[in-house]
Amino acid sequence: MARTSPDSPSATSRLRSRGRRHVRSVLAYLRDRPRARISILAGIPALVLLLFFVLPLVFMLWLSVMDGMPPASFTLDNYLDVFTTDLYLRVVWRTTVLTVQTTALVVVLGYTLAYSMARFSRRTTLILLLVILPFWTNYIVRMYALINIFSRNGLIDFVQLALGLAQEPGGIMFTHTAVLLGLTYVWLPLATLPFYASLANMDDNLIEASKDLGAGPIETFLTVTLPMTKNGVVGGIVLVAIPTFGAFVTPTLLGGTDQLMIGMVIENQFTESFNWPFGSALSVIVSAFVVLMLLLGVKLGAGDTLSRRGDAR
Amino acid sequence: MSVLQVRNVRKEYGDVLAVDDASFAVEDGEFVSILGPSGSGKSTMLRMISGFETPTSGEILINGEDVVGVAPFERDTNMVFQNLALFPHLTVAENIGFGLKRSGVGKADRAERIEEILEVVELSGYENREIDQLSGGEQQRIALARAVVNRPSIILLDEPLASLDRKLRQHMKFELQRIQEETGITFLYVTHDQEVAMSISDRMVVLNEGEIEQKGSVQDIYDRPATRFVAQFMGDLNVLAGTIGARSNGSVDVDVAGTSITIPIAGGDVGGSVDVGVRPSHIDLLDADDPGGLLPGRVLNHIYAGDETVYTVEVDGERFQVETETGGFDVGEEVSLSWDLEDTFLFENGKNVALADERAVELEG
Amino acid sequence: MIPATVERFVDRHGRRIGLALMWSVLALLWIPIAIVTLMSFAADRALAFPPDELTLYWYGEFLRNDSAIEAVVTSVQVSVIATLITVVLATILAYAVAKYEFPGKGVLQLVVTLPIVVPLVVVGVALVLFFGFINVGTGFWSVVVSHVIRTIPFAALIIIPTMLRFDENLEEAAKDLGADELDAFLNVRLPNILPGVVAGGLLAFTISFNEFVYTYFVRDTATETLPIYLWNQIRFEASPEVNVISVVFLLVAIGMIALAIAITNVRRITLQ
Repeated sequence: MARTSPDSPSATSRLRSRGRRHVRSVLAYLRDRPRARISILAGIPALVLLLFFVLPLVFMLWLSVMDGMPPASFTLDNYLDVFTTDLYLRVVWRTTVLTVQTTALVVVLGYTLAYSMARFSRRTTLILLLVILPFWTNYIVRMYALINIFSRNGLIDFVQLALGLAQEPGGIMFTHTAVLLGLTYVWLPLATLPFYASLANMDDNLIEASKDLGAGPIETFLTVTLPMTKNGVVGGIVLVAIPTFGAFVTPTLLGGTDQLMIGMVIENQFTESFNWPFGSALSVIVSAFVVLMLLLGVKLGAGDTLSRRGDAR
Repeated sequence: MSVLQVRNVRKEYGDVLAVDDASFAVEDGEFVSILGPSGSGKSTMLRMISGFETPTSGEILINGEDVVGVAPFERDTNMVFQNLALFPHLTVAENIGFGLKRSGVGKADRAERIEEILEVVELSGYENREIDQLSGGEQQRIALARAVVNRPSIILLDEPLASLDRKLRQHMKFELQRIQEETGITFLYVTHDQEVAMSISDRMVVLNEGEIEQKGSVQDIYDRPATRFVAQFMGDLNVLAGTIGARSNGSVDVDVAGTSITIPIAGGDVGGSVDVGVRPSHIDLLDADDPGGLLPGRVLNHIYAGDETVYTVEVDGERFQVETETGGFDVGEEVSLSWDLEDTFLFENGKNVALADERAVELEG
Repeated sequence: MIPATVERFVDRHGRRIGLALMWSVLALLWIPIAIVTLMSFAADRALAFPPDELTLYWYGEFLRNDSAIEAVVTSVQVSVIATLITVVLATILAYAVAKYEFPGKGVLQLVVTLPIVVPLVVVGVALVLFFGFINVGTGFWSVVVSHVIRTIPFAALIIIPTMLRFDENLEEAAKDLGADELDAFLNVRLPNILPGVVAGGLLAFTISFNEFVYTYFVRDTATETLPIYLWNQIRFEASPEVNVISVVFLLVAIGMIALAIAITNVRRITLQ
């Protein structure tokens, strides 16, 4: 426990020993004050989150019921505008439709992928890596990859012309399909994970037991596998629906102004229309959707765990 | 016609031979056990009969029809899995009714049969319980009920008692026997526990490293083991190596442990190496100089067990177990071992010499 | 219900069909990435597929492009600083969660994971509004702060379990042998939780380096990260150079994963 002697010549070691003395006095001070200790430790990250996450969201909520930047007065007009204007209603409708379609597509493709991974494949770590890696590449890069493919004379045109499905190259940019495919492509790797986790956790013997009792593979899937992995499916759905509803990069790049989604309208309010209270109201609506999905997810997924009939252990 | 006929079934996994040329039959209403250590191929055998594995060659006939290649959901067999495999997301009644529903049994009939079978397994009223609310023993009985209720030609049980504690296992094995007798369904039971198999089976098939070593009644296998492996697997056995000195009509003199014993078995070649086997429960301990003694030994250890004591005795460099009345022999004392010579086993190349004639008849016949 | 012939067919061929489907979906995931990589070598500006000529020209253009290189530099600066802050915050938080009970502990753990759940546009907008209201405005440090918020849930999700796995007895043993709290933390706890902390840091860096939406809202014209540069190129110019930048991102992602694997392997080796 020896410390460097205070009469050693170098300036840095003198600084170091003074620093150490300060540290020791701080530690001694805190040692007997557990509440101070905890306030500092938990307090610092809590403060950061409060200041730069919670507070801005609360501010936005407050702004959404104001009729302008402060000082301003209370109003519900921002919300009313959304629900009474035809344009915005259509945007909300289109966003909902795209969210439902994307979620459905992701569930079908992702669950198929996860099922084969869990039941038929032996090199699961490698396959998992292959599924996850695209998710770690840049979001915009993946969109640009799709732009490459969807553009006129891109891969889709190449295939369509080769198969005789189209006479002229036109690409599928700025269509509903392009946005749908784009959103599906973005979220497929992420959703596959909870599907795979619940499938891998299921007892294989249950499938054999079902076959032994006379159910063929399809019937076994419908009556045993699917109900048992329900929680994973719900998890995946929630994981996809939430970011898709608020999406803005994908529809902007692939859909343009023909395929307006709520996220794009919000962005527009801030960079062009400068109607910040209205944009805030739209953001609150999106957040409300998120909360709704989370509650539904908990009810349909975690709710089962509470009544002790959850996914197979 | 036998309910189940396995004919020359062989199963290879690449280079590994799991089952080699196995043949046996199970008759209607029998309780047959397939007995063997782990790795003997018994689970593989069961999975081939139930349809989850396909034999490399051979036939499996259920009620006279070859089912090799037929999917498990189309076979008239039902299995009780080792880890039970009860569906956690279904109630007891839904579990039991699963197979009935698949066969097209109507709702009312199903409810009736479920109620009946619950009575048989003594769990009446359990229809709406959740699986994870049941105890180990109760889950066992539901797994059995789920298989039996379908009244298949044969029920296959894959070591269902392995995970139970000793007391429960003793109780459940008799439950299994009772239920089998009550329903009259043919049971094929796979296990490594010879004690359980012996107490409830009608007949047994003993497997070792993929080959059938012996098949027959419990009595037969225990009293007249075909091979040294079977004898040692069915119970404790003391073995000494020796050589055949002389033969006379109906007996052989075997040189063993420095002396000669005359065993009333007709067979074996003079000069041949043999193994002499005696069960611990057949041996008595006498004083070292007692003229009735057959082999000399020295007591190494003894474990007191009430009326009986288990002695570990050194005989010609080997350790013998002797279960006999508590006799007052101390550790280190020189003793003499004696037993009824009729109870001696003699094995040449692992095969029971006493059964050599029967084998010859089998090969020719 | 389902005809026996269908069931038999699925039973016999199900495995093969399933694997074929699996590889098809995987191919669908990777084809766009493969195409981008391929197109980064395409000579023709017009993104025609398949490319007639292959060249490294655009890679050269990228390296000569000052604004692109500056964007890379800015991205690295932002991400390194944000990652350091995030890792420190997440580690402090993990320490508090693992060692102590306090009111609001559950709430804090919940709130730290919220940025993953709340849509990016919503938070991005809230941040720029708030920064404007308190007169902090947009700029480099606003971007750094937003990246911290974006990455802290991921870092926490890795570092908290790591901290929980740490055997508190080790710290007590160190104190028993004469170390004070700081000493014990630096010389006993830190070395043992380092793999988790590093993993959290790599994850945070990857996410920050790729981050776009928050940056889009809280930046000023002087702060252009690589994803922002990419966005502008795509929206307003779309030159094949964009493909090159995409490949750069790919390489960074692969590099991070390789690094993560290498570190965990090295650790296993040094432990043995």
